[in-house]
Amino acid sequence: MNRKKMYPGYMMAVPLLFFGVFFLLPSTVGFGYAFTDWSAYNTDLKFVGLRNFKEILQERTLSTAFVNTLIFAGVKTIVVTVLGFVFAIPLNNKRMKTTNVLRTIYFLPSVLSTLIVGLIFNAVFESRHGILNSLLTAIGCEGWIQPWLGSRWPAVFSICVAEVWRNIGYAVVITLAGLQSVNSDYVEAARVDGANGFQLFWKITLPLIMPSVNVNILFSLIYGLKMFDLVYVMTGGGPGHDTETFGTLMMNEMAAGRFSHSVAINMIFTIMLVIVAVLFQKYSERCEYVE
Amino acid sequence: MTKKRIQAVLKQVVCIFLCLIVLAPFYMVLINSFKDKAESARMSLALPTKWMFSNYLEVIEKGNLVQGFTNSVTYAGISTFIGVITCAMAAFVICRNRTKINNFLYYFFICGLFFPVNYVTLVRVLTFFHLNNTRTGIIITFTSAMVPFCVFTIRNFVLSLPVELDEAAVIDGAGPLNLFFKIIIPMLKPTLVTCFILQFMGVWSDFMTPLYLSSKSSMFPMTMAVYQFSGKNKSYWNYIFADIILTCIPVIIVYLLGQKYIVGGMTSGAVKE
Repeated sequence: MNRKKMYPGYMMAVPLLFFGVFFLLPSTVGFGYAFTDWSAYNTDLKFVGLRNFKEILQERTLSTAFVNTLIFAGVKTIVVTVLGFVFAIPLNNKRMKTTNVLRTIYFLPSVLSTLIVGLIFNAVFESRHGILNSLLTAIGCEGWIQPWLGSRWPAVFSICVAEVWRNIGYAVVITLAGLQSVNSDYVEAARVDGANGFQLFWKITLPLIMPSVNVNILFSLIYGLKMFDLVYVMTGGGPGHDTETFGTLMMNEMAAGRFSHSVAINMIFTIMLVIVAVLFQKYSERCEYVE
Repeated sequence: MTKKRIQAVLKQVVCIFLCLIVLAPFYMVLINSFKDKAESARMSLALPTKWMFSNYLEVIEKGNLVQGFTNSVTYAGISTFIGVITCAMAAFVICRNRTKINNFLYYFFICGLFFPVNYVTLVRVLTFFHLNNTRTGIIITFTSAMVPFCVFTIRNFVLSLPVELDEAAVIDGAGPLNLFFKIIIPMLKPTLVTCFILQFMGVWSDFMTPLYLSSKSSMFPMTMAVYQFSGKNKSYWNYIFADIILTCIPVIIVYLLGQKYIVGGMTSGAVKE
């Protein structure tokens, strides 16, 4: 069989063209603009070397965005992974008839647009009548009441809560599938040897499902780092620049007309994401070899 | 035995409690969408004193929802259809003909999973092709953004199809396109449906791309219509809630219908049996 003839290159043309021209070209070759003075008011481009990077690094917003991005991604990944287990373990029971219904419900928030999640949680954290503040009044914790989206740390907390709510279902589905794929012979054997519940989990189940947990963590981390929409809807990066992430920072710089700054930030961000992905790949490979 | 039963009951209680936490925000939105302005601003969880079904009609009219709905269907439908079919072709070729170039192209596609979209320069590229601020531009952008995921997922599935199939088809005189559309596509159906549903919902929910790439409100999909509406009517929570419900309904229907495929597709890549 002539492979070249049966699997012709032109069958790859459309994705190659679209992806190459409209995704990879702007995301890589486009970095050239980071070294120019391109802005909304200046289309006559000049090479300015590293000036944009110097200017960005001098502003405090970039370090705020850096810290926030790490907090959002880190907190979300840890909380979602742990809660994934908390939600999935009770579901992993063959005699339970509600498993599929519950899984459907848990996954429901994940299919909503981040915009919708943002709007819903804007209502939950609303300062005057929001559910959270009403609830705090009802249980007598008036001291905790505050405009949740009005200052840095409460706002960061609120955004984290919304993000966790949105992603919990994804973690449950992956973790549950992992748990269900564990061969019950191992568990039985360990039980015969006298292992208790905790030992069963730590020594048998967890190592067996580590590969799927790793996938879960990697995607949580990458999407957490890319987080933009939710922050944009809930705070817009404010108050001031307190909840800015890389995503909103790029948007705000672009809206302000400083195109080259936006591209430079994107370049730093891309390098960061690639490093995270590569490091994680190395780490998870090592995990799997150890087993 | 009683200890086991207590455990089982306890598990059920925990599950139902967790379920309530997940559902509480939905309940709040739903119940408050039927109240009048003053009552919904208090956002209590009580039933409305007067059921205002007219909120929904008002929102559909004021919020440009019909137009938004048509736009969303157009964007999501066309871009996902083109994306999934052409990516299936590419994934098939990459998987079956493993030359050095094709292996390189695979990684070329996969790196898109990690790269963030650079909208500033993307606008520049679109402007160069006179596609900025057009529906075609938005559709192309969506299609190109779904390429990495589709190629990755479909290639994993093609791996499991026997090569003998291709050989038999070739002996019977099929050309490459015939082979692909008549033999391979039917075999790929489950994974194609998964990709289609996931990407359709993804495009439907996305509001970043239209936010950057369109400035005319006649081009806004449903998400942008909601965003614009909520910005204009900040204190009318009843309308905003009704708007949220209406935007969610199509996605939730697709989700409930295609649930089997969604869960299957997500776990096929992540769980090693």
